[in-house]
Formats: sequence, structure tokens, C-alpha cells
Amino acid sequence: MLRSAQVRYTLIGVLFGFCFPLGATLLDAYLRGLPWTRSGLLQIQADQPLLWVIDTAPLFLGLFALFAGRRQDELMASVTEALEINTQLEAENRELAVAARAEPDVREELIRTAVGEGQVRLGDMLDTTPSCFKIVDRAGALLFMNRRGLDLIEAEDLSSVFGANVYDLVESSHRAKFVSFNERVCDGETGSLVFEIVGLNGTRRWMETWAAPHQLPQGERVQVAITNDISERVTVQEQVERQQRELRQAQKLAAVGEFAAGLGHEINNPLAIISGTAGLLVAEYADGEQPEADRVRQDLEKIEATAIRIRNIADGLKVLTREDDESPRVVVNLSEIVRQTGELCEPLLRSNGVRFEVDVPDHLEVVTNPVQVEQVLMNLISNALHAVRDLEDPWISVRAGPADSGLVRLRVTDAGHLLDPEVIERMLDPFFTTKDVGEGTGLGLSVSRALMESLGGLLTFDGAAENTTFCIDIPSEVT
Amino acid sequence: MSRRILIVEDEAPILAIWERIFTRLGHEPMGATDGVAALQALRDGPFDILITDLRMPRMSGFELLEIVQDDPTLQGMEMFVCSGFVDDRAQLDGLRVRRVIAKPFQVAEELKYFREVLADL
Repeated sequence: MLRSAQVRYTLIGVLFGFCFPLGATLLDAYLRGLPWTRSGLLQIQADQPLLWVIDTAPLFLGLFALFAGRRQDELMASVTEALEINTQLEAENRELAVAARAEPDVREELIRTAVGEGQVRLGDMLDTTPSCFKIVDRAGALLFMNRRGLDLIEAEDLSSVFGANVYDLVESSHRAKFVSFNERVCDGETGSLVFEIVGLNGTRRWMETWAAPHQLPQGERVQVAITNDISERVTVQEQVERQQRELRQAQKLAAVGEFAAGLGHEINNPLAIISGTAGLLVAEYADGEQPEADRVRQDLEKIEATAIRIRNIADGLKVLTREDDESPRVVVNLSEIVRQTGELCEPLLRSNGVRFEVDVPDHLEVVTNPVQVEQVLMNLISNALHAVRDLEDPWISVRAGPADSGLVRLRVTDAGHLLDPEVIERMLDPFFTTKDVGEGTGLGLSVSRALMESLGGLLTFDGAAENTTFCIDIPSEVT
Repeated sequence: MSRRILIVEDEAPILAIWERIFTRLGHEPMGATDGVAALQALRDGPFDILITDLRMPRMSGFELLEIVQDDPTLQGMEMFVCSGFVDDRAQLDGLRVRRVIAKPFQVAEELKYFREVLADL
């Protein structure tokens, strides 16, 4: 109760107020020499009318102190309330700060709490890990595997596979590299490996493992590994690679197809030479004539040479059918590549009235995939044909040119002048085309450039040349 | 009676075969290796028969046939096409071509055919 300022202040005020009438009465008694007795003091009270006023001091001072105390109480109440709100806000802020922290932190805290309270065991934690966790010894025997790992190898529980050889689970074509990987890890290396497994129920899975060596208390070194099922990723990757292969094949067909379509017909010309020359001889003999032996020999030689010409044309066609992705890079004569391409392109060029000039020395050797270079060359010649066929004097040339060391350069030039800076800047980009819809995919140059780069070479545009010129750089040495 | 025959063909050995065929038949063949050379020959003198290839440098067989057909001074000549590109036949619509000979052709058949054609001229 005394804690209330209102009461305390009133009490003090009243007591202080009493000091005034009491002091005044005692002072008066002293001055007048009256005894400090009840009757004496009453006498003074009766004689001094001012004392009646002074007597009211306790009342007024008490009232004044009461109001001051009440005011103080009110102030204190509001201060207390503010302090309480502050405390509450601080608590809320702390909660918010915890919630705002990254989730793993919260989880870690939860786990730490749980572990501290003995609720979580290491084994349980490993079993809920979404990766396979395993321990394998140097001979391949399984010493530990978590739940996820057991699911992936399709095993019931650890006891059924404990000590079994994990090598048996690895797909046979991957086994050798897995064994050597395990031995290297057990020798102290750290590394990762991608391999295929066949589960106990026969399911095949692609796995990616990260492994490190671990020394057991008795001194033996084993492999500790975390492994993930990447089958889906591998499938998607295979699909992408297949599509890229198909795209390249389609592109090849587009580039070569234009020339090949005319090629089938072009064979009809040498066939006409053979059948015509032979037919004339037959007609002469049928009519009982004896043609000159020299002329007969010439005719037969012509027939033989023309048959060889047909074989060369057919050789050019193999660019269409050969599976080029698997064929390795070989040392090949550059002039041979150009000659093969020429065989295929010349008929169409000739029928469009386009002069085709080749100047490639015989001794230039390159290390490349000849079919792919033929394809790129054919693509450039096809573009050039489209560019020049309506010109007054259309020509296309393929020449050897100076290149950086380790490379051999072919310059494919045509009678045209490529001037549009926008075309020059963008023509090597995929899907950029100046041809009408349906005439070209716009993939030719970009695929050609990618092909050359995959062969360790380059496809560039020579902006400084007088006529439109593309350069193909091909490695001349094994890289 | 000897007839004048113009053969337009950019492949020299085939040109030589046609020349030998018409020489055998007792006529006067003459060769041109493209449409431009053929037009030059046509302006130098009249021909009874024109046999032309279709795809040739400088001037194709199509252009040559069109020019000849539209030229009033070159009428009355029998026109033949000899080509390995039989797909091109559709483009010959509207051109006065008597027959398209597909390469490769049989000499015996062509000897027989042109012997009859020339006899009727």
C-alpha cells in the first residue's frame, strides 16, 4: 500500500502540515513564558486567532501532496506499461530473427537440440540421407550401406548384403574401372566416378560417386563414398546427344542433298557415253562392217575411262551414307578432300553455268575427319552457288591459303561481294538466313562452324578479301 | 537427200556419238557446246533438225528452245531434247519439242527412229 506514491505523499504532506500549528503554538508559549501544558497550549490557541488559520496547514498540504502523488502514480503506470511493451517487442524480434535465418540453420539447431536430448542416432540420420552412403574395403567387400543405398542395389537390409562383393553389382563393362577406382581410393586418393550398376533385381542405374579414403581403427584403409542415382540425367544427356547427332545428320543431308539430287542424273551422261559408244560399235558390226582396229581400241578405252568416272561420282555419294560420327580423324591429303567434293558439286555448278576453279597443291596433309570437312566445303559451295548463279560471270574457287602454324587453310571465294554489315555480323549465327522461307534453315554456316571447331579447326569470314571469301582452317598435326 | 542437223551438247563424247549416228545415216551433223554457240550456228544457215541438251553453261537448252520458237526466221525445224534430267520435262510444256530422248539411250533405237523421221521430212 505504501508503494503507492499517492498515499506516501499524502502522509508526508499531512505530517509536514502539523509542524506549522505545533511550531507556532510552542514558539508563542516560549515567548510568553507559559507552561507547555494542555491548558497553557489551549490558552494560546484561544488567544491567537491566526493560529486557526495555521491549524488548517495539515489539511491543505495533505491535499496538495495527494494530487502530486496521484500524478506521480499515473506517470509511473505509463512508464511501466512502456517498459512492458518494449520487453514484449524485444522477445518478438528475437523470434523473428530466428525465423528469418536460413532454414538449414534452424534445422541444424533442431537437430542439435534433438541430438543433445538423445532423440537422434547417427544411423537413423544416415538412413534418411537422400544419397547412398557406403563403406567398401580394398577387396570390394561391403562394410556398411545406408537405406538409400540398399534401395538402389535392391537389397532387403544390410545384413543380407554385409560382406558381399560390390564389384558384382557393377555393370560388367564398367567393372574394371570401378575396381581400379576403389583400389586407388583405398591407397589414399580422393575422387569421383560415373558408372552403371545392375541391381539385385536386374534394374540398371547410372551412378555418380564421390569417394575418399578412411582409416579404420585397426589400420586398414577403406573407401567411404557418397553416391547418387544420375540415371535421369544420363538419359536426358543421351537424348540431347542423339538429337544433336540427328540435327547434324539432317544438316548434312540438306547440304549434300542439293548436290546429290543432281548427281543421280549426272550419272546418266557418262552412261550415255558408254551405251552410245558401245551401241555404235554394235551397229557397225551388225551391219557387217569391219571398223578400224585403232578406232575400236579408242572406243573401248573411252568406255573404260567413263566407267571409272562413274565410280568417282559414286564415291562422292558416300558422304551421304557414311556414319561420320564414329569415323576417327585421319591423316589425309587436302587436295583429295577438295577433289571428292568437286566431283559431287561440279555437275550442279556446271548446269548453272558456274565456273569452278580449284588450286590446292598435292602435298598438303591434314589431320581431320574428311567426310565432315567435305560437308563443310559443300555447304560453303552451296551458299556460293546461291549467291552467284544470277551474276553475269559466275565463278567459285577453292584455293589453299596461308594459315597459322599447325593449320592448313582453304579459301572458298565466289564472284559475289558480301557488303551488308548486318549479314556479315550475323551470318555465322544459328537460324540466320537470307534465303526465302523453305529454301534454307539458316543452320548451314553455324553447324559448319561448330563442326570445324569440333575438329580443332576454324571457319571464318575474310572481310578484307575483294570477293566473298570464307576460310576453313584444318589442323595439319595431331592435336 | 542430205539433211543438216544441229546437235547442242556440252559433253564432247556424247556430241561425238550423235555426230557418228547422223553420219551413219548419211546426213550432215554439226555440233555446238552451248546455247550461245547453237544460236550462232543457226544464224549462219538453216537446219532441218535440232537436238539439244537442257543443262549447259552460258545458255541452257530451255532458253535456246524459247528463242528459236519465237524467232520467225527459224521456223520449220524439228526440235528434240536429249537429257539425263527427265524431271525437267515439265518445264518443256509450251515448247514445240517433238520428243524427249532420255540419257542413256540405245544407239540402235535412235538409228531406227531418226532414219524414219528423216525419211518423212
